[in-house]
Amino acid sequence: MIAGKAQGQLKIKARRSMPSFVEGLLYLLPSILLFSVFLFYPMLKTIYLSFFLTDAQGNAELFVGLEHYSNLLQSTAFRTSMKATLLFVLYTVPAGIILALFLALLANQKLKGIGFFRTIFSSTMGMSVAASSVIWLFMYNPAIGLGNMMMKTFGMSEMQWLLSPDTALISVAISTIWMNTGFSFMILLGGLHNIDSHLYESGKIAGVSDFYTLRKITLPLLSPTLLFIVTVSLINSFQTFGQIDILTKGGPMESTNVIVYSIYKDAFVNFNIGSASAQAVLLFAFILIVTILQFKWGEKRVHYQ
Amino acid sequence: MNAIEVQSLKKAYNAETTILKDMDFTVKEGEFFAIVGPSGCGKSTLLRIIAGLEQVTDGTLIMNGQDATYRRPDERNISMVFQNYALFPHMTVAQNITFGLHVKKISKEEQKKRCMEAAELLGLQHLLERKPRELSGGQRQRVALGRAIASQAPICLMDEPLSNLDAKLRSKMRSEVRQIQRRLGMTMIYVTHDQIEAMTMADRMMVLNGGDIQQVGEPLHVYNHPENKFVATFIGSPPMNMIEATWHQQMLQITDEWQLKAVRTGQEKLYVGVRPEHIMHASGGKPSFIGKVEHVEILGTETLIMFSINGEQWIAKWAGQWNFEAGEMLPLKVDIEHLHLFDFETEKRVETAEVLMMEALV
Repeated sequence: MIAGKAQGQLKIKARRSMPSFVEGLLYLLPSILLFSVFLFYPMLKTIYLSFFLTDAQGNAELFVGLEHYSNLLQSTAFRTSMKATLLFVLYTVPAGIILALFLALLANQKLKGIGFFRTIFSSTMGMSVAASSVIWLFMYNPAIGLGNMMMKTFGMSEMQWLLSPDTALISVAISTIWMNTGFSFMILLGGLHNIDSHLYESGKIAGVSDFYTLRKITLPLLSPTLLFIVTVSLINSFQTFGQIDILTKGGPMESTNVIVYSIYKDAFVNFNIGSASAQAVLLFAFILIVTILQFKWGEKRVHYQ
Repeated sequence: MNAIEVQSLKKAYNAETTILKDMDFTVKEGEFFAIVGPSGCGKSTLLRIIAGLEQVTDGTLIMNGQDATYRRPDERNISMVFQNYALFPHMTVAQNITFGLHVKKISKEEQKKRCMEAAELLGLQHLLERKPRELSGGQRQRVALGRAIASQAPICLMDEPLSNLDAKLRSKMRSEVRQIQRRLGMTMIYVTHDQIEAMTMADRMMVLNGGDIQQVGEPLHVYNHPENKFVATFIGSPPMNMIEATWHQQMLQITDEWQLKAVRTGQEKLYVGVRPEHIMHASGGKPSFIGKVEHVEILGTETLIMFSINGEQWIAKWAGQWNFEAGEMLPLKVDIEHLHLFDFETEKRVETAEVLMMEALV
């Protein structure tokens, strides 16, 4: 009798839990579909293609195993490309975040008309990469650009900006910093707003210096925001494409041929889709490792409130 | 000696919004001075002005005998405890307690000593290495207090420090804060909206409303002799019962059946107030009035009886446990010396003896 009752309950349980699982799946279905079509499938296909030689249409022709990878790791072109990417990240990320932090600290003051500056500082967020790149293309024009006009005014020699292999990468980096500042600024300003003002008042009553306040109050409490913006900027910077395509097309002499641009060229110009896929997989692995390391590193240093 | 002297202090954000109007008061050294008022009365602004976190619009602020009106907060030799405690989430309890001491060139050993002393006083010794998020509300409150103690500033400002604690802990912390203040002899300025805190902790209290000082004085004096109708109804729980009374020749007509012989003043009307604990059962004698019971709250040691009188709801507080049915008619009595009279126009206190003839008692 009792056993029968227990069985009945089990049945009820089973009957209840099955539909709820299906129901849950149904709710997830739209995002599962979208993610599958636009994310999971391309990702798996990329990994698959990286093991094959392909024809111009991107169909797998011949299985070559890890040959693409070993070729890449030995090729000077890929190494130049990796070097350019790392340098580009190095130029843009720290400088961009420090600049944005500086602006955010300025704009966090309670002054009259500060709203105007907040708008100005964050305005680059509203501009597309293409539009900003065209602006910078004009600025860097050796003959009529603002860049050389300023160099002349300050009595310095004119520069070739995007046309010289020595300065091209830095020039693109400068324009990228300018483009990314708006977003970083907004996020950091939001982070600053979240810091309890009573903490600063406590500091004022104790009479600690402004630098001490920045070091001991602002930065530790901003650290979650900083970690976020560093991660996002880093990933963004590794994936730079638009400004390279418009400003330099990877030139001069491959000096700005960053990895994503190289992938694009291999895939859609040289139709070497297998090799391009292998590069994409390597880039993905690299970013993944860097991000994991960053979070590991941040665990001890980031103070969540 | 006066620790703080406030002279004709004004604060206005712009021409329309005046926060504080022309304030004058003094706080003596070693005194527990409570500033109490409803929210929006300007009490926190006043405290922040004393701390130097807000600028005055006009007036003078003298602290420890020196003009401090335009001094920086850190030059005023104060400590402050905020409502949300203002603890640094990334620092340990010990670091929070000693925060800012390095500015005053206090050696590491001395800092440690002070931290230990404060921790001992507050029972925080075993928590010194914890972070604030690992502490309970009461413990966080103690850490905030610890910072004020470790700074050894003679004046301590507190902005509603107990309002985030639950009722039981709050009453415990009340006595603790008071004991610490006495033992260390600090001058304490304590802002609260809770009149019970002000009544139980303060040496003197100041009642604020709408940026105006209503009354300054010892808590019992304020309770027994409220200067105006606002103070009378704000201080005390449940609040003082209040009713309009009209003149009827040489009689003050309070309700239809309740009238008192009196010397007529200029006004047409007066407010008459009675504290709940002064309304008694007439028990055989001539009742002052009859109240119709509406609701009874029996609290164990005392009973609150809500009844209606001339359309107003009054509350009587009797010791012990009483039970009445709603609708029951209760003969009630109030001694004339327990009546508080307030001018109808100005709402200022009118001395009972000046108006009411004492023989009316009989």
